[in-house]
Amino acid sequence: MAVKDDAAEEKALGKIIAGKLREQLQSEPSGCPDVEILSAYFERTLSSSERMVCESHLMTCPRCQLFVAELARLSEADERPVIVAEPEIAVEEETGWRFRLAWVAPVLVILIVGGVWYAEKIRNYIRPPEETTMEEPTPPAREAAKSKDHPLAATPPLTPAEEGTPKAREEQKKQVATAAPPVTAAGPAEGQQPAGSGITIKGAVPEMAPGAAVGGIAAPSERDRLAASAAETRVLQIPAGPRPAEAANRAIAAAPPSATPETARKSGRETQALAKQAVGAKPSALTDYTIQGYTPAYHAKWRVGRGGLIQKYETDRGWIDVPSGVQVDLFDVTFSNASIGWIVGHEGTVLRTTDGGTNWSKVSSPTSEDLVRVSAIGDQKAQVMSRSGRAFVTTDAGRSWKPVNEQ
Amino acid sequence: MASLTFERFFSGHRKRLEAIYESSGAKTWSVSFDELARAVWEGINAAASVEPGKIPDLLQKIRADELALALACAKGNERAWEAFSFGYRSAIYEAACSFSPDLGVARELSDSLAAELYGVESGEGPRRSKLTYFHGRSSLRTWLRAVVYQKFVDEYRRLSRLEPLPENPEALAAESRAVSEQDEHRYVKLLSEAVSVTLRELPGAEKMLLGFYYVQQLTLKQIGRIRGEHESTVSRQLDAVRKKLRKQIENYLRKVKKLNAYEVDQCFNYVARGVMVDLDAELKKERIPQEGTGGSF
Repeated sequence: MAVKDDAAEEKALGKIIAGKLREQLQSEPSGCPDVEILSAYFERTLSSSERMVCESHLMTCPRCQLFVAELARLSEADERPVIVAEPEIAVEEETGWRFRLAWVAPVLVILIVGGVWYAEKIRNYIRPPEETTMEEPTPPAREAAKSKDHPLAATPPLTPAEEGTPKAREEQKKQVATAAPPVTAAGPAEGQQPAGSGITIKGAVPEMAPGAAVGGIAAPSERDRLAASAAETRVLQIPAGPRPAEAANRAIAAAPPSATPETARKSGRETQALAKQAVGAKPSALTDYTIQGYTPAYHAKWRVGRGGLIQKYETDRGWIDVPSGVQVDLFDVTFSNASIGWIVGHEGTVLRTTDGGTNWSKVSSPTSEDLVRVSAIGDQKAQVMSRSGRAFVTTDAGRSWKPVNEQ
Repeated sequence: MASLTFERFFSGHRKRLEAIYESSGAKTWSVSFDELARAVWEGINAAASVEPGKIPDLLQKIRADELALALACAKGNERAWEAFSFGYRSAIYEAACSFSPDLGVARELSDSLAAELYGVESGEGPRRSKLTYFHGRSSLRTWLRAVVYQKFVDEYRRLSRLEPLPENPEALAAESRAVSEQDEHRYVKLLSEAVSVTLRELPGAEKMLLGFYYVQQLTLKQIGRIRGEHESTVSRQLDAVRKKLRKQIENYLRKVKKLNAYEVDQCFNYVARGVMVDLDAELKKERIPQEGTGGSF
């Protein structure tokens, strides 16, 4: 007993169906719609009533069915070939991706930890004046406070872990109330003009913590906060003459050392104001941040045509001829960047340019069939498609070609 | 109900027509507003007369830019011809090559059509271009392909797609006769009849789907283009129609022809063995498209 073959059964049944359908089509079709209506039917631009009439005719007319079928077959030429990645390149990209991931993870951890730590510092630094009782000393001030000669040397300097804590703030309040400590200015910030030149500093925002930035540019989570504070433009006038720190110190020293708590608090606020003026802040990395972009120059207009015609569009001159060196019909042109371009045409013609289209040279061809489409990526890689739908790819600027695998 | 005239159409939709004129670039090609409006009217008047309410929708779908270019070419505008040549010449040539493997024939076909599109002078009057028959209802590229195909069939009598017949059909039939000639003929004939009856009862849309797939031998993707659907949707629909057809065939054989389950299976088995004397005869009846194929100007 024969084994049942579903595929053969399906195929044979299909033949019967085809035969019977042909039988049922009109032997003498009539009333065929015109070419434009059939074209519009294929493109689905007919009105609903037109479509209904056309379809009822198509159901019985073999000629019109064949007509529409041919339009469907020809419309496949409208699809552009897609560059297929070579297996070697795909593997390379995969390992490169994994490699990048391997070192990104630890950097991310550092950024997150640094960002959290610095966020706390920023919050303390950008506190509003009326609420702030004591400014956190800037790093140089802290360093100065650690020296023996510094009035604050009597008190043990704060450890980094203690800085910014409530205990530290209390400690500093006491110190201001009892002996107005001089605040050592940071001095002219990097890139600024030296003191005495009467410069204006905008946006006194502290410098970035190393952990929170890469390459001097604020991490995304920090940028918004910094941008907001940078918007509070505080114009500080550093007077010409002695160093700002000295002026501040003189102002601070003018306060009586044994003032009452009330006057001490008042003078403390004044001191803070002077201290702020004295502190030379560096401009934020955010204000120096630039965004770079480019416009691809190769998006110029090109066209190709009969008899080896190549033309380029220039704004002031219009379409100008470019010598191709061939006489055959050319069908498609593309550029992968400003310099590298490809043209394909009749009987397997492939042209390539490396100087933006000024000169074109013939390269080897994968076939003697007409080539009707070309796509390119990078300097060396291109894919072409023949009229029959066969696709070929080169990865060595056209020196050799191989067929793209059938899908 | 009064039929819609050009004047009524023009006055009733003047603003839309003006917008179409502005966006079409017709001024660039020295095509006047009146010329464009009349060309649009020629394209949609049949549908507009039946469904006047659909006119705005029809106008929206008009390929005005290509219509303007075609009108300019028909008038002999050299700049328009230059634009047409570079934009559409290759589409004509590609279409011709797809119909004829002989590149010489393809080139002759495309050159001949190009001349007709440019316009030939007739004894009766001035040059008349075939592009005057384009009214923007479809894209110019699709219309040109359709024109190429029609010309090819008219002038070169292209054969329809045929299944290759077995080299020795009688020998194949003789082999199966050894099994049981009577059963074979009977089952095959019954199945043939069942297919014929069930196909007649299928809705038109389903029949057309089977026609595009089995008769025209289009791929699922190509059928999807015609129907405006994704090929996976077409695949599901085709599968559903085939299953439905199969079920109806079996029902017909069981209920009308009173076959039992085994006999119904045998019908399909004999078909699967490829022994179809009747089918060979069917294949020999394949039609060749006649002159004046599908569509006219």
